[in-house]
Amino acid sequence: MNKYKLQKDKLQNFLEQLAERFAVYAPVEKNGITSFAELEPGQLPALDFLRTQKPPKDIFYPQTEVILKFDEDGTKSTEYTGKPIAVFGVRPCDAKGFVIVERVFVDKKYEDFYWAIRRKDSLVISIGCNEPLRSCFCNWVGGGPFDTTGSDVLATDTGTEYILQPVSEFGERVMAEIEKLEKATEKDIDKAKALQTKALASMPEPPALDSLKSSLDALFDDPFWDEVTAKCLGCAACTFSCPTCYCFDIQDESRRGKGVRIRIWDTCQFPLFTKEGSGHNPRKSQMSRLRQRYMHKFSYMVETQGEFGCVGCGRCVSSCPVNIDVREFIVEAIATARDKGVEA
Amino acid sequence: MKNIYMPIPVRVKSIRSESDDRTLRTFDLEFVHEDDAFDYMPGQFCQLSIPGVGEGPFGIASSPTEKGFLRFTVNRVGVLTTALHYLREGDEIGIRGPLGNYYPVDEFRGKNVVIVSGGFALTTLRSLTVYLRDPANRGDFGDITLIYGARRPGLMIYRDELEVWEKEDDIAVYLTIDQAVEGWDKMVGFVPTVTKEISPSSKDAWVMLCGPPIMIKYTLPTLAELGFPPERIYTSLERRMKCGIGKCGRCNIGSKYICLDGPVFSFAEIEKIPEEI
Ligand SMILES: Cc1cc2nc3c(=O)[nH]c(=O)nc-3n(C[C@H](O)[C@H](O)[C@H](O)COP(=O)(O)OP(=O)(O)OC[C@H]3O[C@@H](n4cnc5c(N)ncnc54)[C@H](O)[C@@H]3O)c2cc1C
Ligand code: SF4
Ligand code: SF4
Ligand code: FES
Repeated sequence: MNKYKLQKDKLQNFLEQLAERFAVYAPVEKNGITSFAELEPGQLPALDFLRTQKPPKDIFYPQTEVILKFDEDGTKSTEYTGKPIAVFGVRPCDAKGFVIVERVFVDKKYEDFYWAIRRKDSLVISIGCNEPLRSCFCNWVGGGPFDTTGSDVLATDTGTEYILQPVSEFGERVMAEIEKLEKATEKDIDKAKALQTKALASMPEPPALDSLKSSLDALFDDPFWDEVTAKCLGCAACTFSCPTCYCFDIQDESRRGKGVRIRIWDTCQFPLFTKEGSGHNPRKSQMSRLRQRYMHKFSYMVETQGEFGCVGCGRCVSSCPVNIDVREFIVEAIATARDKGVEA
Repeated sequence: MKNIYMPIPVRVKSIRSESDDRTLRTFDLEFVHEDDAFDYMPGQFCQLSIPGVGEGPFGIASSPTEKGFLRFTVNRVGVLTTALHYLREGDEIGIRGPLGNYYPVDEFRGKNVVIVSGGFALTTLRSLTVYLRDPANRGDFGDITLIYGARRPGLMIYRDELEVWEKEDDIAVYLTIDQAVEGWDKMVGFVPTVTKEISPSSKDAWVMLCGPPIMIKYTLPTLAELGFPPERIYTSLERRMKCGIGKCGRCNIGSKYICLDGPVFSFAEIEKIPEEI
């Protein structure tokens, strides 16, 4: 596939061309919070940080979304009807996050209508990370600062320009249709490659996680969990900031014969999530709830998806008010299982 | 693209009170548009939806061999179930389904079936019983034994029908209540005890066991003693659910979603799941 070069001073023009056929989402800063939002005409994305604080899953899966409307005429679906969506400036971990959520929302049996409508004909242009943060650990979980999973185009930032490398045929087609986009030269490509190699080399060597799943399975009833979850407040900052956490609630609201059905991000960290009519709650303790989060990402998803459900973005590490670090947990789990001689 | 969250309109065809304490009501529903009608199997469930109130999962109590209606028995516990109890004949509500898997009828074709149930968990097992006894299917299965218990006679659901079945010779029906009361001439005692008394043979037999957790807990050892291996004992699990289709992340035990991989599981499968049921 052809590679392209975008001078940074032409970024506005590039995004305007994209906006002719796409609703263009990119990182913005608003009220001190960084997140993804649809760019206003003329607005430039905020690109002077790596990951946004709010994960970009809300582009395709809004935090709250009215899915049905009820009135005298019956029930109507209120799905997204805007232009196809283009995401510019997502990081490789988050692009992979889209793929992980999608495997849940679009499985062999059922397709999640509201997710699928927003994902239809969408374009993902990611920007690789030249200088990964200390909380980043994408390279532990099968990713990397220039991983292309989930991207249609991967950009490398050389300082003055972006080298655009199409990953999918769709990405290639859209890039080919952008006017005044230069072809990248051999030299440009070499420069990009050097940056990519340097970025990966700057990350500490990851531990081997081959035995993580079997260690966790073996430790399920072990007091180990009480220790590693003892500090947890159950605030759910980790799940709301996670690009691969997808749990939701469905609620109805109505007044005088008119109503709506809304879907809202929810979290396995709250006791009400699983509380039943009889008062019985299968996950009574915060230990059992944080264990669910970790088991889901590092054991269950290995079974259902064939890989970890964590992309190593590090958001939960930096958002946790009591400094629970998923990496420490991982290392601890493997060591505990080995010390106790229980891992399979 | 199909919208799996869009409820299909159904009309309340008839309503019956199912218990003397007015907590249980049985609804027969019919499709507003006939071509919306779907096929289903015993053990599957649906999401019943009242616009503006909410939706929730309910096991299908009718059998696919009974045409023209879908039956549900609803226990009043909260917002949605109370609104369902206020429905009148002719009212329209929404339905999504059929959802989940079903009792493994293909696995026990040609074999004997023991159905053990308590309280209002009989719903989908009524569906199964009617299905097995349908003239088109009856020859495909061996002996059918039904053991059913309720706290007292007034809480025994589908009682008229059960008393008809008691007289049929293609099914052995054992009805029990927790404590003796005047006018009750059938069995007395908890389901686990009664199951032991009856001691159904485990030879070529499968068990479908649904009821309150405590009943299940104490019946399992009896079944083991009778020689039923966990691979041949099935139950239907419940968890809080929202989507019913494996998306909302709410109903998992271990790596399984009860709404998608279940609700029907064998105890051999359940034993492999780390979390408690
Ligand atoms: C596969 C399946 C089949 C079911 N079949 C039947 C049936 O045939 N008949 C029947 O009466 N009930 C059945 N239930 C339970 C029924 O779905 C809930 O009781 C109902 O959704 C509660 O709704 P509500 O709005 O009235 O309660 P709410 O007002 O939402 O809540 C009342 C209480 O019920 C709890 N609750 C809410 N939803 C559920 C749920 N899905 N499961 C357990 N507790 C819940 C809440 O935590 C709360 O404590 C089934 C559940 C499942 C998962
Ligand atoms: S952010 Fe930290 S304290 Fe909050 S629920 Fe997650 S692990 Fe627990
Ligand atoms: S678990 Fe933490 S590090 Fe992993 S994807 Fe979620 S927020 Fe990122
Ligand atoms: S009810 Fe949503 S995943 Fe099972």
